[in-house]
Amino acid sequence: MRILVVEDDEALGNGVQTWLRLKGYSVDLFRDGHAAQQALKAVAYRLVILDLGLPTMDGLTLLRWIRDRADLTPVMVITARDTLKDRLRGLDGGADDYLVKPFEMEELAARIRALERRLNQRASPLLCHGPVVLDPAAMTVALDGAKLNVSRREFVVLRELLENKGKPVSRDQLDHLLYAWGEEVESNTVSVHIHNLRKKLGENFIVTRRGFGYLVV
Amino acid sequence: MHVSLRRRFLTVMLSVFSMAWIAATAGIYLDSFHETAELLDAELRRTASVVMGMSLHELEEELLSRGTRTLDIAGYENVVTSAEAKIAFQVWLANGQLAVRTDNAPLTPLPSTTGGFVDSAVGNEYWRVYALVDARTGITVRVGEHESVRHKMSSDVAFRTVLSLMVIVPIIGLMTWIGVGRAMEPLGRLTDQVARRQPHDFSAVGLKGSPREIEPLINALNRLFTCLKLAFENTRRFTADAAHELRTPLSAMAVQTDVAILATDEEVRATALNYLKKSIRDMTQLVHQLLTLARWDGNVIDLHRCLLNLAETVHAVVSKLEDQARARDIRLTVTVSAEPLLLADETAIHLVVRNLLDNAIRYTPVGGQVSVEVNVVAGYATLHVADTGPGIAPEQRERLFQRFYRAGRSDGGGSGLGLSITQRCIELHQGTIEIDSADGGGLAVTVYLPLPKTGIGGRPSAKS
Repeated sequence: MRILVVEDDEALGNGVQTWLRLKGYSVDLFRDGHAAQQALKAVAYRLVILDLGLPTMDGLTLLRWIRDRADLTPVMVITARDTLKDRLRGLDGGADDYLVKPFEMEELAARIRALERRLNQRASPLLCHGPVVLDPAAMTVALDGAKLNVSRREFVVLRELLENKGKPVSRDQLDHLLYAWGEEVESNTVSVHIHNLRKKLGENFIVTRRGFGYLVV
Repeated sequence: MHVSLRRRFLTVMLSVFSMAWIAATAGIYLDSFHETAELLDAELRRTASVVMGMSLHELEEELLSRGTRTLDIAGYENVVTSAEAKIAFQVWLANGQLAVRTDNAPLTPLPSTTGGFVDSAVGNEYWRVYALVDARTGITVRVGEHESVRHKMSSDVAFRTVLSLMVIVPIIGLMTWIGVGRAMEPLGRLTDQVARRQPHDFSAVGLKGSPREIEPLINALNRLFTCLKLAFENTRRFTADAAHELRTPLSAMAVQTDVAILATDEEVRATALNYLKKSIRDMTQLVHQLLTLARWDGNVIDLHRCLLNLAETVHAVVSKLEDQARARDIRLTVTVSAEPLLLADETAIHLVVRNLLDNAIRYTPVGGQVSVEVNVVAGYATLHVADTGPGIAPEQRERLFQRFYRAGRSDGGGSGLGLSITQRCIELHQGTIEIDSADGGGLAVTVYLPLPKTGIGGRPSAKS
């Protein structure tokens, strides 16, 4: 899941980016609206986290620009403006969610999970497939009701595959997710995690589709 | 001690009325006394005539029948009972014999002059006497009246007048009391209106058909409410803005703390801690500036004015900012064309110079130049700061002084309060600040600070 964060405050933007990366999301950070526009044209983000108080291009203007392009990407507004009028303007301006600073990252994460659920039209907060149950909030995986020991990297890969059930996830996308740990992204890193997951979940749980990536079916 | 207008009005009314009343009573008393006296005198005269008429008739017969002009019967003394107790009379014959008298008249002749009135004392009684003499027979009629009786009658008349006035006084007092109360009623309603209003209600007060006397008070109140409303809104906006400005660094601190807790990698944690430190520094500066503004925003200002060499202050600030400029490869030049001495608060002026130089360095691109000039122009010390930065469009310059406004340059850091504080400090010194374009497109800020009027102005400086 690739997220775009548009936040002009360096410390806050960096913090949100790093924290979400540590939680296994792929995050791009831009500090002004114009750069964000370019990124939105190039990449299909699953979520935009948007600060309203931006220099040169106001957050609401960017939001309108996104909606004018008939782009349905969920947008979560984070702002210091907390009056009812501000919140209404944000939500009516096309935002899907509204979070007032200062906020807890756990709440931001929970709201991201909720948006994910809605996006994938899932009622349950758990990601289930066959005998495997993944809890995104608790960051745990169970196989046949028994807790399974998986590393954080394996968890991130599995979650991404389960979120995109039936659709192939490319090796690049998975690389991007693992980037947060600052490790050298080697061409075979993803392969190693897939290999480990197959060992734990069964050889046929993850299917390789040559030229497209991996998927669960 | 609060004075009751109603009581005061009533007091004035009643004292004026009482004085008028006393004067009127005295007048009426004197007047009625005079009138009564005339009436009584007329009565005396009439009585004398009647008595004379009757006496002549009766006595003449008596005298004719005796054929003598004198009535010399010893003990002949006719005493009649006075029909009206207040009037006494004596009828004297020409030979000095008392022919008739009323029982309340003395035996001695009442003192009199012929054909006139006399006030006199007989024993311890005061009489007013009228005497009438018949020239033919020599009969004298003396009619007298006790003065005390006359006084009593006059007093009675005066007393009745005074009594009627005494009834009127309390009525007038009561009516005054009620009338003043009525007149004060709009004031009471106005008081109610003001007393009932909520603390943050600054709408205008008004009375339907308010008296002209209260109108100025209402207008003054409404003017005050308008001022209060403006001040209150300013404060509220400022508080809201300040809260808004504090939220972002707070969020950043929270997030970076979370990252530091979550990170397993040392490098990620170190980065988070560095950001945390930076956020704390930003927030400290913001809080410091908010406090500075709060201190200098009020009406009670604590300026410690002393003689200050502006050029020295500039040098002091420059020496502190040199490192910052060097780090960004910015050339910082100072020109001292004159050395003005100011009568100013050192902290405030230092803050002005530092804020302006700090801004210039902050927004000038790496390798640029910031030039400062101190001079004296027409009674003003001037501080001119020009940079080679991007400058600010004329339409944005007005907003520069708005609190928290950053002219779209948040990347340079800063709270957006610096210029507000700078402007306030300059205002406190009766100075002005102007923003213009520098030669070459950068920003040029000029501060004018009035020189003290005591003659200790600037002196030309050799060094530059």
